Amino acid sequence: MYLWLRNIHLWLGLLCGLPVLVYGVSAVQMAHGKWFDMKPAVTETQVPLSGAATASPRSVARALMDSHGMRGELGQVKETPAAFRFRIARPGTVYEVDFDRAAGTAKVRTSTARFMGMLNRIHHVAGLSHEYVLLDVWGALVAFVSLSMLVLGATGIYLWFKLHAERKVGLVLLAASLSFALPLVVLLRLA
Amino acid sequence: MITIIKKVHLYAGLVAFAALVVYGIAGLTATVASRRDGEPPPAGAVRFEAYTAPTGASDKDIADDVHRRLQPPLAGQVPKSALHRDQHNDLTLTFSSVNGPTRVTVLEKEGRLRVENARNGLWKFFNNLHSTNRAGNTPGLRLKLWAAYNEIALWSLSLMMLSGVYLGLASRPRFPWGKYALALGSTAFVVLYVVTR
Repeated sequence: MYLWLRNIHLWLGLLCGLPVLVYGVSAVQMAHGKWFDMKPAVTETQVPLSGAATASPRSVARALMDSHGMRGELGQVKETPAAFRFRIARPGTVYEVDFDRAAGTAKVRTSTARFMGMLNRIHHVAGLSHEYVLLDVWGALVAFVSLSMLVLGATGIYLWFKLHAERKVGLVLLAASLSFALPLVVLLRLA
Repeated sequence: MITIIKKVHLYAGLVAFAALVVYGIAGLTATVASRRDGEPPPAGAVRFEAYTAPTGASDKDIADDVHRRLQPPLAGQVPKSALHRDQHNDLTLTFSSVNGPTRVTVLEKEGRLRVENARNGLWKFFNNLHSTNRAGNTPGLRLKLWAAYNEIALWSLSLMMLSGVYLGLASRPRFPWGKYALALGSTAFVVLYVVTR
């Protein structure tokens, strides 16, 4: 039992090592925003569109994806006096498209995040029901890493408890952590 | 060296244990909850209160005045960028807290407030807890303490992972599956990053 759980803990921890570290680093970025330069690189272009491609936001988005290499998920569709506005987004890159039907042009503002901005966006991806398949892959990774953290926590507690030499210090640390966090969680929930 | 790193790994893990559970639950909740993104947010109990907006006050002044008056638990003031008026030109305010939003509509012509208290489910509450940090809007001692614990936990978690990777590779040189797992997880992550980029 001990060896089996130790190997699971080791294997799972190493498998999730990099993703968990990335989530940790991006969490530090979110808690200490001033430490990092998060300004994305922004470019603007105009794309001429005509014919059936201009019928709806989805057809404009499809044309931009097929012919202009834009990738991501369509969202935030809004009607405007000129036609409509929407976003195509994937982690780290956002295309804000403002389509003018009379002029037959789509003004595209592209924001590309730097490294930390990219990690921040990766941290926020979740779910398995996206139109853009890579978002689903990231969502699956989040689910797997989350489940792994629970397993790592549970197996870690078991492995620690089997280390008799570390029981006293460990018990003090665990008791301090739990006696601080658990009442706080209850008090927050009851507020 | 390995003995010291083992202690660091163990102690960091025990300190961060409660947060580790919260983060795990938050990730799983986000996985399931995003399926319901298209659904309207939960409705809450609605009440009305008499209210007269100060004369000549800006929308932000009114929002702060309403916050002072209602004192929604664990919710900070509404930032200026989140202020907006609905189709009837009534100011609408959302005071967000870990337990759910308090939505207020300032019905100036009627001289009253429409106050709706929505309460999130337990899983969403855990998801909100995981994202509570010192940079956010954290009014009240309880939230500040939780944000402080989150800060300690995220450093502990990073330390635990770094020391764990070292231990996995250094203390078990004859465990090839560990190396394969690290290579597999890291390669998959990097490839996914590059493809997404």
